[in-house]
Amino acid sequence: MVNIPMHISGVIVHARPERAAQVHERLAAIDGVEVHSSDVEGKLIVTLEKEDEKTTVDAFGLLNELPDVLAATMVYHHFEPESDSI
Amino acid sequence: MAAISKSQSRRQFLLDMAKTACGVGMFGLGLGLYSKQARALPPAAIRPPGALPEPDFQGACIRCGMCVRDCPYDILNLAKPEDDLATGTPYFVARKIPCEMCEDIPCVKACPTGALDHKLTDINKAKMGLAALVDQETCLNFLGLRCDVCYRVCPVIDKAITLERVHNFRTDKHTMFLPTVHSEHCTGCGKCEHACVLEVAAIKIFPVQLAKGALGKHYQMGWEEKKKAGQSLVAPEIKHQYNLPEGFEYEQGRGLVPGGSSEAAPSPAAPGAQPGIPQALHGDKL
Amino acid sequence: MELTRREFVKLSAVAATATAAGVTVPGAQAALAVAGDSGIRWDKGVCRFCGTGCGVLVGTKDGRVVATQGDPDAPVNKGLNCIKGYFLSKIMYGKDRLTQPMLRMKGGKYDKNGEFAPISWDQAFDIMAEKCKTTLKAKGPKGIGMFGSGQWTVWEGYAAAKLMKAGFRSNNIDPNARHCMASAVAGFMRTFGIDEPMGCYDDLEHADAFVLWGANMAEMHPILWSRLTDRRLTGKGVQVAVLSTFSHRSTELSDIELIFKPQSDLAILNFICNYIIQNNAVNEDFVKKNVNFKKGVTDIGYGLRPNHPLEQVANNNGYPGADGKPKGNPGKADPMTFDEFKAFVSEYTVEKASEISGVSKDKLLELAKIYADPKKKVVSYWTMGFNQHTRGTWVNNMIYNVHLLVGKISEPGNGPFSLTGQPSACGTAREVGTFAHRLPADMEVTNPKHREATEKIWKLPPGAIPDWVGSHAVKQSRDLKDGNINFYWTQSTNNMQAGPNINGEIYPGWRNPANFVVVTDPYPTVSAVSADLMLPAAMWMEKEGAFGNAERRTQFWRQQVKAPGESRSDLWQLMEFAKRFKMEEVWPAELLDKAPEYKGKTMYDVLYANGEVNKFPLTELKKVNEHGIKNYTNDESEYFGYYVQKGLFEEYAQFGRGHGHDLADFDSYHKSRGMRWPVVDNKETLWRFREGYDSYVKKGEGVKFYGKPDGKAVIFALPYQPAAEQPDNEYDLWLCTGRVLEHWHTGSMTRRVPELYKAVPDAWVYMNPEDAKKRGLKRGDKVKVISRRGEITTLVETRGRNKPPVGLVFVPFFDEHRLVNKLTLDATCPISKETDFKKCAAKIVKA
Repeated sequence: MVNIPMHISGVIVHARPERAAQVHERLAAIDGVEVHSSDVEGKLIVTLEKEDEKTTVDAFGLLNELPDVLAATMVYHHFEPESDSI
Repeated sequence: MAAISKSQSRRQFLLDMAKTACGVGMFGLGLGLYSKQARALPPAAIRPPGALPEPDFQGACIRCGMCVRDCPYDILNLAKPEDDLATGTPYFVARKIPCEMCEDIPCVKACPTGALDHKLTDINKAKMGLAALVDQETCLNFLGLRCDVCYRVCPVIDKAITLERVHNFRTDKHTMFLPTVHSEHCTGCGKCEHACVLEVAAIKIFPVQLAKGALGKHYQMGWEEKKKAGQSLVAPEIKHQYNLPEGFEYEQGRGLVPGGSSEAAPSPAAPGAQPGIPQALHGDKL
Repeated sequence: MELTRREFVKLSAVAATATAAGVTVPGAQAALAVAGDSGIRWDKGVCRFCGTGCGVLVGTKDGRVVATQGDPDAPVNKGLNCIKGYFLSKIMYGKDRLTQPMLRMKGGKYDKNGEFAPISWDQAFDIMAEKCKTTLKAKGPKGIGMFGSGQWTVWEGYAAAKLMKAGFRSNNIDPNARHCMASAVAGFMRTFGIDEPMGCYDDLEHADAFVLWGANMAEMHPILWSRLTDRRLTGKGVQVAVLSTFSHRSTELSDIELIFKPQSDLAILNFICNYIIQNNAVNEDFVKKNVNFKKGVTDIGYGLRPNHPLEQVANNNGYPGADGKPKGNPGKADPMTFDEFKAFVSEYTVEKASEISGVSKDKLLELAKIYADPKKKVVSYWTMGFNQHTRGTWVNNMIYNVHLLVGKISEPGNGPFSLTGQPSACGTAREVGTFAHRLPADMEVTNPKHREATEKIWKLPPGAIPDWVGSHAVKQSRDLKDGNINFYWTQSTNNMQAGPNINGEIYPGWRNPANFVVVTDPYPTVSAVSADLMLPAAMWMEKEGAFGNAERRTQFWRQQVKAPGESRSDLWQLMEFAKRFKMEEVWPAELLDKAPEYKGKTMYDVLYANGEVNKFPLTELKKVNEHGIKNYTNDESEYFGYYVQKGLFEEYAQFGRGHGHDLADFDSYHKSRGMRWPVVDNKETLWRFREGYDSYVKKGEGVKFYGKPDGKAVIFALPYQPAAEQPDNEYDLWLCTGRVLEHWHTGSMTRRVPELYKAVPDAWVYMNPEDAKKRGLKRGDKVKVISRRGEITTLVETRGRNKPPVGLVFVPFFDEHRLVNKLTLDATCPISKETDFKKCAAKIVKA
């Protein structure tokens, strides 16, 4: 089996509160992005799954440039070669 | 993981450099390494007993290796170019192998220059470093478990490390035995760090100046001063008297004593005054 | 909950991010917590080491125990562990686990002097059965022997006792608990007529004073010690007195430290009784109502071989005399009056006790007052200092003398309490009765009524159980050496390291060409490699088990993981071996004629597939354990086709129910953190023999020692006598052996945990700095410790945890590279047959 390395990042995306639902949709459409929660203040908890550092950085840049996104902050980054055992 | 592979690759890099240097002309690079390393002693490296303060030691040590040769337990190493300290000087790493504290201190005797101070004749007076319990979050005894391995392996047990007893409020039934280092007696031999059963030791040896705090000169420990003086620094005190219901006593410092003298420690010299012991036991018949 | 690594990391990312944002993500933290970091399955278990019986939670993942935690709901330890318990998850995974049977072979065949080679279980049982049958033909049941363990699970001990006593009709079965608890057992039986402590650990929170007699609880019972210390710390005026032959971690924390000369505890105990009487502190009502007085015979010898000079002059050692008849009976005692007892102890004045013991008069008086003060509740604790003693039974009797005189017994905070060193010395060795003289529930093989009761439960014809007392541990070694026992099987113990006088007795016996020795163990211990056949054992969480701790608490656990390779539990080995014998091969025809239905059957059929043991079908496993593990099963049950453990336990429990040893039903134990017997109407018993606390004591009876027919305990008049071997001009030091906190017994498990090995790698000889100086030695010097029986080489330790007085040295016995038991003397208490590992003479020279 080929090990695919995993880069998993946790990102806080701060959207305009009144536009949060739209941001949520746009985020969900991006490959490797998953939205886990959003609150009334417009804070969204997002994970970013990519195969290497470069695509991670690119995707992160994309998040910042999305309309109605005030800020995207990288909080957590984990890298390791994929394996099934914990 | 990353840290290990980084240090390994760094080590490999330095080794390769050293190898290349041998072929190409060692001198310049060797000096470069030397001057970089000579600044300070890395915390994990401990000098042998009796070592002079670091700058003096580096000046006095002629890198002869005699102390290393005479260490009966093969504890001491000579720093290699890839190590982070002055090449050729002796050291040990407590977590790997600690000092056995030989009574006759052969390493000091072997030192031809006094870099290891010949005035050190009692190994218990050595100050190689100072143990510090740096992580109370992982120390098992701080969690209430009964490890206390550091305490029991300490060659100066009950002096350099004591177990301070504290009630375990979580279980409410057990005592926590907190290992406590006393700098006056700790020699820095490293047995505690070596034996700590955690994956990363919670107790570590540091150079004394790193490990030791200092009280401000403006404050003194009253109870210590009183002990030193053998009496209260401010005396005399009047004999206090109190309004009390019958049968009660009030003792300065101790507070209200219900039932009066019945709680006082039995004193063999005062038969008849010990209600805690049956009449028959006043005055021993044996 | 199963998570892949990716899901886990993602969940962690969410949790961390949410925390940073101050947002809660429903479920993320909880999911992480449930998964642990990992989808570990947690179930309850018991620590594998000492007799404290700390509860642990065992974490299993992918068929491996990956973690443990102290069980916060276990009343004994409330989530705490000592450093051995902390490393429990590593004890099963030493690199050198035995995974298949290994036989000494040459040219493809068994050879006593061959090299170990792997064989199949079939081959292993073939050679075992062959050797066993040959021995049975030549010598009968007395020619075979088994040495078991206080680390056997309850059902393993029970299955073994049944195999030996009912199947092979041999009482030559003894547990290693003979080395550690036998004197406590004999003491209980002689004084109270029933075994095991009356109190429980809750005494720790109720006593005003604790007296330790030859127990270094600080190291050997670390969690109980932290409870004791807590009482000392938080209770007002609580005192701790520690009696020992050297200073150690417990004396360091004590209020009164009494370092006495070896063996003089006998004199101190008599002095305390004398003090109590002289100062009118006897609880007269209690004594009148509840106590008889007896004078024991003296001159009982030292349990040495009969030809030893000390035995030849002893007239009450029970050995055959010149006329072939036994010379008296060391356990005999005749009634006496209180006044006679008073006169007997009157010679033990404080001066005399001080002179014999070397303890100052002040300290002795201080100690006596603790017992004499009627307002002070006292618990006495002891372990090997009392039990491993050539007068071990006496000294146990004599501590009861003290408590009985003042009536401080069987109530919260008052009582004598013998601590145990093994996890199931009580549960298995004592309660199941795996001793050479015992049957379950305190019954004895020499009592016809007891044999009859046992035969009934076991569905055996009358006369099936032999009436002779089998060979005890030390006697087994002698029998092997003398060629009287030729087939020998040991399980869960390491006697080649733990037994006394290895050079003189044990090793020659095991290597005697006439003998075939089998060792069942998870690891290649000193014993295993000294045997002829090694059988790989499943251990701890690799089997379903039950242990009984020192406070009568029975605790169960479920099998969590599979044993590696071909390893099998002791239980499976015993039961499977039984299949190799037809009843005609083990019972005489006249006995079999009394039970013709057993003709043509195997021992397995008669002992285990007997309608009782096999009465719970496999569906029970799921039913009983569904709350703990879904679709639970265990290896023995799968193999034999029924719930083996439940069947064995329920048959065994019949012995004690209604007889003061009531155990609850099997299923309840799987749902509880243990229960303290007698469990009557689902109620546990905390303090025995006292009305209100013990349902066996009727209303109005107050205190009743119902182990004795008249309900009265016995105070024994017994004198001080010297040790079997004492230092002299040549062997000028007392040698004492024992344990350290980091290692358990022979270290076969703890020495395989790298961290514990590193903490204490070697057994050094602890000696007084003055003794070292006198011999020109300094700390770290290589020395030989020499006794009349052998020598070992080790290093001198003059610092550290143990501080022996001048004239005494201490060597721990965990180190297989320095077998201190080459030096010890195989002298035993003549009543309990327990070895004195604490006292022999030795000398030390520079190596």
